[in-house]
Amino acid sequence: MVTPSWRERIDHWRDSRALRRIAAVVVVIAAFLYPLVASSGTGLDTATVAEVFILLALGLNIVVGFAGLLDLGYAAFFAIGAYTTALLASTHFAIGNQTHTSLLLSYGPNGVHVNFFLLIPIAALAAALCGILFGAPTLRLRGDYLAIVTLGFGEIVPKVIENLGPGNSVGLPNITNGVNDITGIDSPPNINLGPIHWTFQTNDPRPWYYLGLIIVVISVIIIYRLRSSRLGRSWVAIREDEIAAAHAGINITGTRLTAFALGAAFSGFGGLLEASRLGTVDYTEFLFNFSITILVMVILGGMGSIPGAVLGGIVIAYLNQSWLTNAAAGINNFGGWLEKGPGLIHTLGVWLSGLPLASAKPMIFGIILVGIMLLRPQGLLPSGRRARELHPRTAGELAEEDSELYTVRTGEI
Amino acid sequence: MVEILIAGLALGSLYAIVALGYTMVYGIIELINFAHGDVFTFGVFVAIPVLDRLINQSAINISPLQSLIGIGVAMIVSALLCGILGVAIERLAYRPLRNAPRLAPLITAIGVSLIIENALFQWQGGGLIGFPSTLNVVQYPFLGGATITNVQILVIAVAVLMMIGLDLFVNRTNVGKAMRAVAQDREAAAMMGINVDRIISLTFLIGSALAGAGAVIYGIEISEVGYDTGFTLGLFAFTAAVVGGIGNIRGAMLGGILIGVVISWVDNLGSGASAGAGTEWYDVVVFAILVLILVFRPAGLLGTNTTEKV
Repeated sequence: MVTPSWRERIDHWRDSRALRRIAAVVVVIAAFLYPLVASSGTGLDTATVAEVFILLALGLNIVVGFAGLLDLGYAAFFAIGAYTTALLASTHFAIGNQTHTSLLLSYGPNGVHVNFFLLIPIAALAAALCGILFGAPTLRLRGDYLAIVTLGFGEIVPKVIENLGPGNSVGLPNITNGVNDITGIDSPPNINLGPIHWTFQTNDPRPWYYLGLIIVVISVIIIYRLRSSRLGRSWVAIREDEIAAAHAGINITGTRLTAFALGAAFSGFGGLLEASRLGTVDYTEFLFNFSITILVMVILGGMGSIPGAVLGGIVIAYLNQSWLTNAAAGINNFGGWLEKGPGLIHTLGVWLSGLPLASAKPMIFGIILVGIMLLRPQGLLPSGRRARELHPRTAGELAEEDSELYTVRTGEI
Repeated sequence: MVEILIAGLALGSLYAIVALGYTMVYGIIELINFAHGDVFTFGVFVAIPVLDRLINQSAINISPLQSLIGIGVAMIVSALLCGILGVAIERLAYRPLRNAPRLAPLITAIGVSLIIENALFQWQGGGLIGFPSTLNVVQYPFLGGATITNVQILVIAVAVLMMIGLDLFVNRTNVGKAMRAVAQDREAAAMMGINVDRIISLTFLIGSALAGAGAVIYGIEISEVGYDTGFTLGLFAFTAAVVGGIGNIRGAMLGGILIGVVISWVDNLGSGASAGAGTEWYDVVVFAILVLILVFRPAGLLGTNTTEKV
């Protein structure tokens, strides 16, 4: 009997299921308590953005991480979720001159207003339908073709939104309000449940934060269950070996399609949350660079890893909203201080104080993508299975495994 | 109609040149080199200072000799620098991942594209930059009352020369034969004594150098460039490569010209109430073509159906 090394002990400890559950519960409790300590205002706003990012990262993780399909136009589904909300719950579509009101829906000259809770399935369904509509003809292509087709799709959706505004050149009525954005999107109805009194207003981020948190927690649970379901295991099987999976009786295209549609559905949730929180949608938020931002979240956290997607969403949200600006200011100030020094230090200072960090976000994202792929392809919080797949074993490790096999066979353990 | 066709041919020649780079790299290592479009933009940017030095910008009439020397030197400089950049990208970012799962180099390629694009942004800013004037534009009468400019003739001629040169190189020389061998079966090629790494580097060198040389004629034809020009252009060029049959050099030429003509045609659609419809919708049309080709003829027009290697 060999005593396990520290490294092995740590690995074992980290892999233990009980510990993972405890960690998850601690994180959720901390997240629920966070508004009590957060500086109300910007801090909580960033956290709310992080929730939307987490939803997007979770959804894309199904497509890229579980099913191994590179989707470069994922922001388009986010756009569809957001615009579905905007069209169905704002003053945009005026119908007739009499207002009809019911519990879940009202329409009239003041626009169509669908109840927020009814919109949750509608937004998800709209995004999922677009995923199916678009995925069905293309998902039998090989992976890298799919990447470029999704990229094209991601370019088309914002372009169509832009072109279907008022007075458009194809003679259609004003559908999307084009470059003018859609404003005046409804907030969720007020919630009064026992001790909970939530009023969704722009000046109080707390109800938004809690609403987002609940959606995130439910989504995480759904995705965990999904991953270990028959469907989730089929996704992984196809990713790891398409031919073997097909021989095991898995319908390749159909299974991929479900990954695509379910992945899209989660960005539909994200779009709904974002549109109703901001009260406005703008198609320029959903361009290629945002698709890449979501991809960076998934890659950073670790492809196929659910905690990884959560971490990736949080890190990129904070990087986007505050860290980068703060770091840029800090480095520039530090450069200004160094400028007072002599010779080389002065030159370094001038360079640092003029460093355009704020506009270098795409470069930082690019460095993250390349760096992670070259140095740690399994990401920061890897899923065990994906890590082994992405990190081919060295000859030494293989030999070690062989010798272990040998000792097992000779009964020396 | 003839004018639209000529403009389409000139534009399509540019797409074809960029498409060559995509198709060569895809043919040999099955990677969509997302950075290729940005290498192209880099080529346009480095040509600008060269032309500024060589051609007197304040002159009203530029002598043909000066134009010729200026354009020639700019093409060589740009091709050289782009070639070096292409090889460096391959060496640093793609080679370490050659045996990794397919998704890894693809994601790396996107990262490299972002890095180069942002570096170009930091260098030249976010706006469109005018390309220096290089020659006196002359119009010649052409069929059916249409006209053709010397710029268009130059663009088409340079593109055709490059394509014929590349086609001869790949099909008639020993190195070209080695490239085809590596594309067909890397391991078998290595066993025949071909230095696979060197051939892959060479592929990147040639593809990027062609983009660099093409970048100069792009500047002359379109006359302005932004840091993200290569991104959209690269997408269209990739579409061209797919339409022609990816991995197929003649297919890339055909696809490029087809896409160019389609864009030039759609761009001019719409009049009266729907004026400008074509300009608004042409990228949607191009991507729709991409999707349709991939769905109904994934091997492209000139490609042969291949099954995925196991």
